[in-house]
Amino acid sequence: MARKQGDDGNDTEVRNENRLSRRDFVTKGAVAGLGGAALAGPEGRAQARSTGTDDIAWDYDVDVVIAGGGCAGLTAAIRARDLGATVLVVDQNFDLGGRMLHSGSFVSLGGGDPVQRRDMNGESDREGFITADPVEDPAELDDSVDLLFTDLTDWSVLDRKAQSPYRYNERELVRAWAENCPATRQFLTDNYVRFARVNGTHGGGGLSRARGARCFLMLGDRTDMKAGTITAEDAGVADPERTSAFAPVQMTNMSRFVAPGAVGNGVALARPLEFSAREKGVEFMLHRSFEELVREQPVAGRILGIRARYSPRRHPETGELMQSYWQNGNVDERRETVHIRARKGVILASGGHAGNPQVRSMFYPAMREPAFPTSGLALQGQKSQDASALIAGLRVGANLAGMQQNLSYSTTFHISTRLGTRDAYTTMMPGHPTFGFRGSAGVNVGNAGFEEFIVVNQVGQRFFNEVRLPRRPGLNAYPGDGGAPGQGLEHTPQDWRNCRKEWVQEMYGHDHGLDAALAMNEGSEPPDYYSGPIWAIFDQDAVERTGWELRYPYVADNGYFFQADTIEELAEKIAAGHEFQRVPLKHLADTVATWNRHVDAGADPEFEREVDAPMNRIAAPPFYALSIMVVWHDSYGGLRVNGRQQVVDMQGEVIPGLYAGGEAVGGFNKHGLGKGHVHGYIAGTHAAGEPSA
Amino acid sequence: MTISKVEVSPEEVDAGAELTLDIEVSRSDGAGPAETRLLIRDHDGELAASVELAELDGETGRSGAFVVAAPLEPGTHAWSAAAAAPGSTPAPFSFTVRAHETRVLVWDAPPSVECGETFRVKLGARCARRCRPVGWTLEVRDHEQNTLATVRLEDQVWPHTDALYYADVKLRAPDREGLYRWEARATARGLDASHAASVAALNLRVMATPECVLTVEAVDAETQAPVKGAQVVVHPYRAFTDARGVAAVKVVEGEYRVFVSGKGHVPFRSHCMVNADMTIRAPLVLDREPSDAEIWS
Ligand SMILES: Cc1cc2nc3c(=O)[nH]c(=O)nc-3n(C[C@H](O)[C@H](O)[C@H](O)COP(=O)(O)OP(=O)(O)OC[C@H]3O[C@@H](n4cnc5c(N)ncnc54)[C@H](O)[C@@H]3O)c2cc1C
Repeated sequence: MARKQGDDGNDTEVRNENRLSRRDFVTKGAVAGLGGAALAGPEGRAQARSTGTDDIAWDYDVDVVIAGGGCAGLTAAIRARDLGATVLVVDQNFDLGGRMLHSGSFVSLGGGDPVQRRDMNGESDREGFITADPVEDPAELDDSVDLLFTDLTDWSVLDRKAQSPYRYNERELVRAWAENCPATRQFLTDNYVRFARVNGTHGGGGLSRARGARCFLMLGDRTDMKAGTITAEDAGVADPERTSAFAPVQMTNMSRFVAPGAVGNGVALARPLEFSAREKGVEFMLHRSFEELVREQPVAGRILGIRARYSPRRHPETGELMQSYWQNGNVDERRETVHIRARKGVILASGGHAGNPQVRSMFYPAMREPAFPTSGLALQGQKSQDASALIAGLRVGANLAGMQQNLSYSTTFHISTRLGTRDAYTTMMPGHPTFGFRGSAGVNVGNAGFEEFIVVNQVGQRFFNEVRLPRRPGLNAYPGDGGAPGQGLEHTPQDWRNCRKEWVQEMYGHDHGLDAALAMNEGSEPPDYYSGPIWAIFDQDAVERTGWELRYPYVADNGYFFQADTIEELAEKIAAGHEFQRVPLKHLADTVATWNRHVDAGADPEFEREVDAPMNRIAAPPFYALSIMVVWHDSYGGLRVNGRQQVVDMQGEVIPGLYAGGEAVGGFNKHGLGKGHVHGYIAGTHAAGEPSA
Repeated sequence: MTISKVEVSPEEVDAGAELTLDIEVSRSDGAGPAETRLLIRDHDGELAASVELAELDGETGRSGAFVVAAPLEPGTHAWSAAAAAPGSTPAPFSFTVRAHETRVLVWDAPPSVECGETFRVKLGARCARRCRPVGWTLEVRDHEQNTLATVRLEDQVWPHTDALYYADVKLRAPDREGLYRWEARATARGLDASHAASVAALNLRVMATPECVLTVEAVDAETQAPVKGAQVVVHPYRAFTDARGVAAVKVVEGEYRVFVSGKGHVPFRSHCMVNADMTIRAPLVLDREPSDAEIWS
């Protein structure tokens, strides 16, 4: 396994032998990717060496190095290991799983994958856990690779924002993805992941068929990935206000899609994969941030390895170095910088750039506002989603793809209905060591809750009809009977009528509240003209109407919730207590007084709220403020890769030895896990198959 | 010995609050300050504080930061500092005293009242520096600045607040329909000079006597079970449904937009012309969390 260079320069074997033979590799390796395409870049270049890279003292030496142990990374790691490679995963976090661990585990694949076929035949799962009937009609599950490919490159489909989700997808990438979906589903199942009944399709997964299924574990008296069981404590379901170190997000009831006693979310996906990876001998260097690729020449030759920096994540209260849930396979390395040699390849699986305000501002300058983070900040820390793959890739000459697709995904950025926490996309309760980074779970008021308050910007002015603020644009829409599982399947893919102007006018359904929230206001100052934080303002009567629980762990004294006897005092407390409130909310008292006049007059001449929902005075003390977050959830633009997940440079040439997957890559407007797993599967296959350098 | 510098902070201070002074002295003959006590006098020449020099080094000396209470009278105050020795020349310095911001609040006013009806509202006052406004008198004035009622604040703090003192007051609605803009304010009685009180608006919607009863039955759209505690808004009338999911709202004849919402439901909306007693059934759709499939498809 990973060979550590000792101080004396000798190799120190730190793990045992590879377990898979060359024969295993050949048979399994044949499943993935595009048959017959070129494996590496032009001959000759790969031979070149610069004096710079000759000087590097490699600290570790393995076949495959993977930056990021999340969705794409863990999948690639297991796959490459299955094929006989030694694998070292570096992850900036203290534990594995990435955003996958935080996720809903809704994995949309298709193309006639084994889970679709199982449900089509009305069968249970291998272990017989599933007793619930299939949710989807057999016709909605009757899928093929060709249909999947057609769906995901359909130029004619528009969403209700009139954006095109599939038109700009890279065709080679999508074809390879579609071809590998069935094998990836099988692979995940073989690595202890259990899928519930297929139920609809997940974002960007094509409308024609039902392709998405969530992952589950069964509640039991021990937590055992092999047996598929988890204790109520570990699942975070024993106490409604407490989760565990195993499950950062409390697992949810999956009985409708499995059987009584089933619980699910990203824990049921990430933990089994992690368990399997550790069991198979993948090694992990945690608290370690990948920073730079080492290439033979700055923009030519083979990728030789990576440089990675110590990025300790310390407990928010005790300051102690946090520890991963499982430890086997961990390489405890605390030097500031290490160089890791990759004999076969480097796989970039460190996620996207939604958490890097400077990078994401190239799509929407107003999103340079650092007050609004990406989802999963507490669990993942500041370094996650910081564009590390993109930045390192650009330095060695990589090209980009699908950057505009960041904007063509309808719900990539939206206003969250969970208020009073900075990590507003995600739920988390005390019990996980990173809870302290957020301090509060937040109060999910739902869309309906927005009628209970007014929303003001950083200077205390309203800016939009509140009840329309959190509304997200709906599904992509075909004319006719809907053209989506559960709604009817009658539609004609790739037909000009799907985007005919008259149809678009009919189905358009988007409110631009988010853009109003990000707009410049009196408090916006050059050069960035930040829009600043936004606040829900309400009174005690609203609390009594709704029963919102304004107490720990839902809210806390963490700068995202305030209470005061008067509106003026509330404005002062926000200004003094919120980390991104740069100016006083000087208009707040007037805004509330004006609002109360509107309520008494029964009309809101500014934003016409009286049309949508009742209006209530804000008069009964005490008064409250809850932060509202604009969430930039994930990224769709990224490194350009081919159908083998090899990174491609600006001349269209493969960068030898460099692979990428998941949110690190662009050109594929497919949300989340479905994309990442298949990318990881393909990248792991081909990286392991490279000749050893 | 001469006073070479008087540092005052803050330059604007709340009435009665702490004012920090720091005084520097020097001796022109270079022999160092013989006198070690300084006297601070207010604008009337009254002694406000006396302080010993804390640091002495040859030619200069310093009092170090010390605290005095700011006067209660708002405005600019000219004080002086001088060595205690008779005949010393006083050095003037000044600062500004601000009155405490004090908020008057009105709440629990009914959304509408009938002509001539009596009703109650709550009046409260909150000093930004948390002074107890016990004994203060608050009054309600009508749109022509006539005083309609006065009330004296007792030692009652409104629940869940820090220092909001309140009282209940009974008022009588005007005899004519309309939207009246009244106000509540603190009177000079009880309110000392160190408090600057705000004025609070009291908007009053006065309606004719209702002739009709609009009955709203709120039910869950899926289960048809009654929804208790839903808010019914038939502007300007408001009510909440009871355990049977019913709210009876007395209204004046006319055309209304009816909203039934709350308790996690998407607002139900209907337009209706009311010219006799009538009943509306409001099926309420739960505002459930959108599924991942719905959000992300
Ligand atoms: C709350 C939530 C719910 C979601 N639900 C779903 C869902 O139901 N279905 C779905 O399809 N998608 C869902 N997603 C999205 C999905 O989780 C992500 O799109 C997916 O995990 C991305 O895969 P990835 O491998 O690119 O990144 P990740 O899974 O995030 O993994 C990236 C890893 O790289 C590490 N890393 C980052 N930078 C570095 C660096 N410089 N050096 C070393 N390591 C680094 C991170 O710590 C992390 O472990 C959800 C996301 C969240 C936050």
